[in-house]
Amino acid sequence: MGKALNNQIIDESFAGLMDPKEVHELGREDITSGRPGQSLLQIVQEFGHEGFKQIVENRAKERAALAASDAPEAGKKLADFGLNSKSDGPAKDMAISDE
Amino acid sequence: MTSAKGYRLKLNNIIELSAWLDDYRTTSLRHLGKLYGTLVAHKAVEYLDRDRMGITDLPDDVFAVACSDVRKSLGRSATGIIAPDLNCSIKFHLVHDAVLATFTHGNDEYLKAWEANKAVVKWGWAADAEPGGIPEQAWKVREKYWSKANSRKLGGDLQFLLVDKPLPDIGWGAIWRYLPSNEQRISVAVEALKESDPTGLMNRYSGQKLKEMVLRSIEQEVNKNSFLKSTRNRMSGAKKIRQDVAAARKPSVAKDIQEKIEAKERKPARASEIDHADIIVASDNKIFVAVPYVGLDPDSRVFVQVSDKHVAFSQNGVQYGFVDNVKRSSLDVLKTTNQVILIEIEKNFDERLLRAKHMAIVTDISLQDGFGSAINRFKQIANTSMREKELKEWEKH
Repeated sequence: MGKALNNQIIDESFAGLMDPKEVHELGREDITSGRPGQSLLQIVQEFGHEGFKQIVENRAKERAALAASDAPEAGKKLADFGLNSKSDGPAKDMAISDE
Repeated sequence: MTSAKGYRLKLNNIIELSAWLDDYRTTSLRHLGKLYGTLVAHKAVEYLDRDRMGITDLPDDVFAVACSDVRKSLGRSATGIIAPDLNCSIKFHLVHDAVLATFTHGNDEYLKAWEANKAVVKWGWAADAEPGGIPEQAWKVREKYWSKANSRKLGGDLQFLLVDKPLPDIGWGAIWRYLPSNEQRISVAVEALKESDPTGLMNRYSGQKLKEMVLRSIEQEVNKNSFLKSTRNRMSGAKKIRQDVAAARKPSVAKDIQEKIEAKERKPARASEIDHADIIVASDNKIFVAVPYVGLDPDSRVFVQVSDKHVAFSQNGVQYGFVDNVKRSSLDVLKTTNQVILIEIEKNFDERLLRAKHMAIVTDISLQDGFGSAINRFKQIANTSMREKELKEWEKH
C-alpha cells in the first residue's frame, strides 16, 4: 500500500534526490532515525533509477498517444472557421479557405 | 461595435457580388481566427502558468476551458450580437443599379480590411452632413440613392454577420502562433500570485522580486507538451486516447487496484505540528524540505518563513508549527531561494509514506525580527525607567 502511495507522489522533480548534495536536520535532535529527510531519501532510493526511467517512458507513450489522437482531426476544418487543425509540425498559415 | 459611414460596392452583377462576398468572408475569418486564437492562447497559458506556480491545477481540458472562458468574456451586445468585439456585419442595400453598404465592426482590423478592399468605395451621405469636397451633382446622386435605401423601413436590406453562432472550441493547432510574450505572461502571473496570497505576504516583495519568483516557476518555452500532465491527457476530443494512456500508465503507478483503494481509504496518521524538518539539496540544486505530515491543503500555497533563529510553516494564515534553534548554515540554504519543494511524510508505525508535495514560498522575515526586537528593547527600557521613577517617588514619601 505504501509503495503505491509513494509512487503517486514521486515525479521527475525527485530525480535529483538519488544523489543529494547536502542534508540539514532541523530541530528535534533526539530523533536520530526515521527523520522525514532520511525517509524521503530512502523512498526515492527504493523508487530507483528504474522508476524514473519508467516515468520517462510513460511520458513518451503519452506523447505518442497524443500525436495519434490528433491525426484523425488533421485536415478537418473547424466549424465556420475553415481553419486547418493540422497538428503534425508547424501548422501552415491559418489556411482559411472557403472552397 | 461602431458604425462607419456609407459605402458603395463596385459590383455589377450577382456573380461579382457572390465572389466578392466569398473573398471578404475569407479575409474576415482570418482576422477572427487571429483575434480569437490570441485570446484563447493567452487564457490557456495563464492556466498553465497558474498551475506551474502552484496556484490552481491545470484544468483537465485546458483548451476547452479557455475557449469557454473567452466566449463568456466576449458575451453579447444589447441587441443580441454574439462576441461584438470580434464580430462585424455588413448591411447591403440594393438600390436600382447600385449596391450600397453600411459596415459595423468590433475590432479595427475588420475596418482596415474592409476599406482596403478594391471594390469598396466610400460613398456616404446624410441629410445633415456637409458634402465636403464632393461636387453638388454627385452629392445629389448619393442623396437620391441613400434616401431610397433609408426609406425602406422593413425588408430593405441584406445582412452579412460574421459570427452568427457561438464561437467553436479550438485547439493547439489554432493557437500556437498567438502565444503571449514572456513579458505579458509575467505581468499576468505576478497579479495572479498577489491575488492567491490571502495573508498579504506577497506585498512585501518588490515588483522585481515577484517577477523573479514567477520566472523561476513558469516554463520559459511553452509547447504542446506543456499542457500535458503526467497523470492525464489534456487534449480535447481525445477521450479514447485518454483511456489508452491511463491503461498504459497503470502498471507503473500501482500494480494492484485494491492497493490504491486501501491507500485512499485508510485514515492517515497526522502529526500535531511541524516541530522538526530536514532540508535536502538535490544534485540538480532543487531544495526539498521534508516535514511530518500535518495535512496541509493541497490547493493552497504553503509559506516557509525564515528568521535568524527559526523556521515557521504556515498556510492560509494558520501556522502549522515551527522549528527553533536552527543552525545558521541551514537557514542560509533556505535564504538562498524563494521556493522549495515541501514534502509531507507520514509516520505510521515503522512505515514512512509520502503524503503530499507542495511548492512552498520561502520568505525571509529576519528583518521583521530585527524591528521586533528593537521595539521590544525600547519597551523594556521605557518600562525600567517608569519603574525606577515610581520607586524614587515611593522613597520620597
